[in-house]
Formats: sequence, C-alpha cells, structure tokens
Amino acid sequence: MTDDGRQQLPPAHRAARLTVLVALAGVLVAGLLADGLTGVVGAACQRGASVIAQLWAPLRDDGDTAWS
Amino acid sequence: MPYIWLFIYVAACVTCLVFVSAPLAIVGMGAGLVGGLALALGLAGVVLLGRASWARVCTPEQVRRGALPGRVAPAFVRRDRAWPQYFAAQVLLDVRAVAERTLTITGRVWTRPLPWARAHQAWWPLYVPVVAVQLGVSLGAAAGVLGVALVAAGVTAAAWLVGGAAVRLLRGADAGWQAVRRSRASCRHCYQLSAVPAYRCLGPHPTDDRLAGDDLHRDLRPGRLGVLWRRCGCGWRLPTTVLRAASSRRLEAYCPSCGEAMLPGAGVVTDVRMPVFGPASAGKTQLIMSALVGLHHGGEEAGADVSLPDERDRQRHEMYARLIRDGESPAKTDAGGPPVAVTLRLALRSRVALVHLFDAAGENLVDREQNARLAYLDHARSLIYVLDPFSVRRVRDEYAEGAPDVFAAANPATHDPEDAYNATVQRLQDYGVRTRSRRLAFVVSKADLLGKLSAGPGDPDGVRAWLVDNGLGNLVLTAERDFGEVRFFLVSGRRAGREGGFGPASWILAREWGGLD
Repeated sequence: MTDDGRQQLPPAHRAARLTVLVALAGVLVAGLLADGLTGVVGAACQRGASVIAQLWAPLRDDGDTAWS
Repeated sequence: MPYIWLFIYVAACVTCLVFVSAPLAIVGMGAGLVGGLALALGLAGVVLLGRASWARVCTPEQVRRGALPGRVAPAFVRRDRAWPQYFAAQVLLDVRAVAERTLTITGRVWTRPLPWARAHQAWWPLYVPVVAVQLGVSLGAAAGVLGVALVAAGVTAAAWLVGGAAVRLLRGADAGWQAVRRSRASCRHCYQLSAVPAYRCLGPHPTDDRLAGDDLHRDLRPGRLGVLWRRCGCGWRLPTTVLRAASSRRLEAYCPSCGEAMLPGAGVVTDVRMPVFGPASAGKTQLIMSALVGLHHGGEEAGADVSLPDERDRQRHEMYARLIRDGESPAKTDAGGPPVAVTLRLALRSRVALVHLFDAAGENLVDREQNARLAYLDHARSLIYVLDPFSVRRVRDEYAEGAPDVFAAANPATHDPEDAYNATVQRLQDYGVRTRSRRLAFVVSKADLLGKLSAGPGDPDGVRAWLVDNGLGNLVLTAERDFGEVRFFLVSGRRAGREGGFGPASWILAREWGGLD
C-alpha cells in the first residue's frame, strides 16, 4: 500500500467515500435526534449536575454558616 | 510537628479531591467523551474527503502483485492491473487509517501530561481530572471509531449485496449469450478455446507496461475490480463484460494462452469450427477450397455481409477462387508445417458467425503421435471426414485397370479409409471428447472423377448405401455409433456449389448458426 493518501483516486472511489461519509452523518444526526439517545444524554447530564450539587452543598452550607 | 504538616497536606488533598477534582473529573470525563467522539468522527471526515495524506491507498500495482484478497482462477494467472472496487479493499484501509490516527492522538493525550505530573507529584489530586479527561477521550474515541467501522461495515455489506447480485447477473448474461449464440473465442494460432479472451487496454500505457503485459486484462468479468466498469491502471475506464468489451474501442481481444490477436467479436459472435480429417490425398484441401469459395458465394447470394477478417485469409480466398475458376488443384498440404486455419465472417441481420475451416496434412492426422498436437479437433462441435472413393478396394479392383487415366488423375489415397477414420476418432475419445455429442459430415470426395466411371452413387441420398455396398458397412456403422448425428455427402472439390464443399459446410452452418436463407 502506498502512503500517499491524496493521490488521484478514481471518481468511483471518491463517490463511495462520500457515500460512507453521508451514511455516517446520517447515523449521527439520527442518533442525536432519536428520543432514546436524547433521553440518555439528558439523564446523564442531570445526574452529573446533581452529583456536583451534592458535593458542593456542604461547602456552600459551611460558608453560609460562617458568613451569617 | 511533621505530623501536623502531614495532616494539613492530607486534609488539603481530601478537600481538593472532594470539592475540586471530583467535580472537575465528572465534567472533564463528559467533555473528554464528546472530544474523543468528535476526534474520531473528524478524522473519518478527513479520510473520507480524501484530505488525509497519511491514509494508505490500494493501487493497481499492488492489486497486480496480489494485495487483493480472493481466489484467482489459474486460467487468469494473476489479478489484472486495475483499481480495485472501493468496497473490495479501500474501505478497510480507510477505517484502519481512522483507527490508527485516533489511537496515535489518544496516546498523545495520555503521554503529554505525564512530565508535568512527574514534576509536581505533590499536586497529585489535581491530576485526577486529567485522568478522567484522558479516560473520557479514550472511551469517546473508541466509540467513535467503532461507530465509523459499523457504518462503513453496513454500507460495505449493502454494496456487496447489491454488487454481488449485479456481478452474478452480468456474468450470467455473458454466459447465457454465449450458450445461446454458441460463441467462444477460438485462437487460430494455438487453437485454444476460451469463454473470456484477454483484452489489451489501448490507453496511454508506457512501453514497459506493454512489454510486461501490464496492459492486458485477463479477467475482464465483473468482480472485485469493478461491477459495471473497471478503471485500468492507466486511468482509462473499461467495460466489464465480454459482451460490451467486444464492441469497445478501448480494448482489443487477445488469446489468453499464446497472446496472439483474436478476431473482432471473439467470444460474442457464433464460432463455427469445421475441422476436416481423412488420409493424405483424400481431397481435404480441395474440399476446404470449395467450401470457402462456396460459403463466400452462398453468403453473398443470401444477402449476408461476407468478409475475410485478415489479409492472409483474403489472399487464401483469392487463390482458392482462382483455382476453382481455372479447374486446378491446390498444392498438397505440407506435413512439416502447422495446420492451416481459414476464417470467414458471415453477418446476416443480427446474426454474426466466424466460420473456421481447419486443414492438416493427412500424414499428421493418421499418425497417433502427430495428431495429439491437433487440439482444434477437440473443440469442434462438427467434423468433416473425407473418404477418397478411389482408395476403396472394391472400386480399385473393379475400375483401376479399365480406367487408368481416371485413377491417375484421382491420385488415390493410399491409407486405408477405416484406419484413417479410427486414428482421428480414437484420438478424440482418448482426450475425453464425447463424440456422441458431436456431428459428422461424412464426405465421399472426387465425385466428378467417380462420375466418369459411372461407379458412384446415383444421387446424394444413396451415398450411405453405396458405401455399404462397397464393403464399408463397418465404417458406416462405426461412424453412426461414434457420433450423435451423421450425414453423408457426395462432393466434388472442383465445384463451389452445393455439389461441392458448400454442401457439408452449409449443413454444419445451418445446425450451428442457422441457415443462409
């Protein structure tokens, strides 16, 4: 195999590569728009936010107590 | 005192871990996941848009050297020097390029912060979010590469499914056409018969390519090098089926065995091969002469487009036509030379045929060692056996003394007709030819001279009975047992009409291609 990836490929190769790229983009967009994935990502974000909030809560409470 | 500092350090570390590193790690891992995914997808985009100089490419040269997987039939020697179909090889290289590049960059994400971490070991709690980012990037990149591979696999599977069906359909169309039209590419030099001729690309190949045979496409059928079209190493787009290759101006057909040029239309037009056999001096060349001139004349009369494909055939036809016109005999076929093949091209409406007449010296045909080399006998669906009536013992005994001048003019064959027949037919059977699926035109030659003695059969339909009456019943029965279809002819090689070689030739032509009517 040659390492020169930018050498002149036949038009059919370029078309086939474009097909794979379009399919990839299609899958990505479909995945992002799909309810299931949106739900999973949303739930993960919420979970992460709640963990951070819980970790920060004692510090905030201590600070509030000290300043009050 | 040292314990107090240690306690303060541990407390600071725990506080940092809980209130800084852990939240940062969670955020960092999420960001790393997204980043890794974006990295893999971005690299896939770069590769698929052809912007990746580091992506490897499967070139025609590598295909020729055997880089493409899959079996190559021995008849095709090796893969042709052409670009492989994208989904046959390049797609794998592209996915591998994305994976390798992603792995390299992910590796750097792991190794870059190491020197800082080693230099600031006391600040280790701050390294926890970095590890989380590294983990996130790795997981995201792995998921991205997996996604790219899965999508590529899905598209490839679909392409193979559709492409595979198209390949079978197109190959089936080629095979179906060849079966219906009885077309094969037959070489007039080495007599080899092939379904797929080798095709020479007429594109801009350098001289080295031509000398090395890299411009030759031995297996032009649809496959891994292209379904409907293939791209030659020189850049020219070539059709893939034999049917389309025959009419392409970018290709020339050559014999895959000896490399000699084949006639235009080889492998697509009906190929009618008529080998003539019999003992020396039986009148084989005379029969071929009158058959060629008769077919030319008969074809023109029937409104067919008749032509002689090359200069050698044209010269031979001119010579034969002159000899028939002048009533002269052709020179004896040289026993030391190769067999002679004369070809005539007939085109009537949509039907086209290449008619090959093969002539070999009788001495070679009756010699078991010599006739082993006559491979053209094996590939013929119909054969012509020539029997010299003047070599029949009963005719000789009855008329030789009374008509010495006629016998002198006849120059009778000295070899026994039955031996001559057996020598060739047994050779065919020894080489695995199923003669029962072949037809035989049984020709009694020298009808004009036989007529002078009033010794021949009264009419052409009586040839078989005449042979039986003259002691050749065994030969007749053997021929009828050996071949699926046998027809008897009485022929004068000096005549170009149906009473000449045109009679048996047009019978074979009608059986294999359709009549000239």
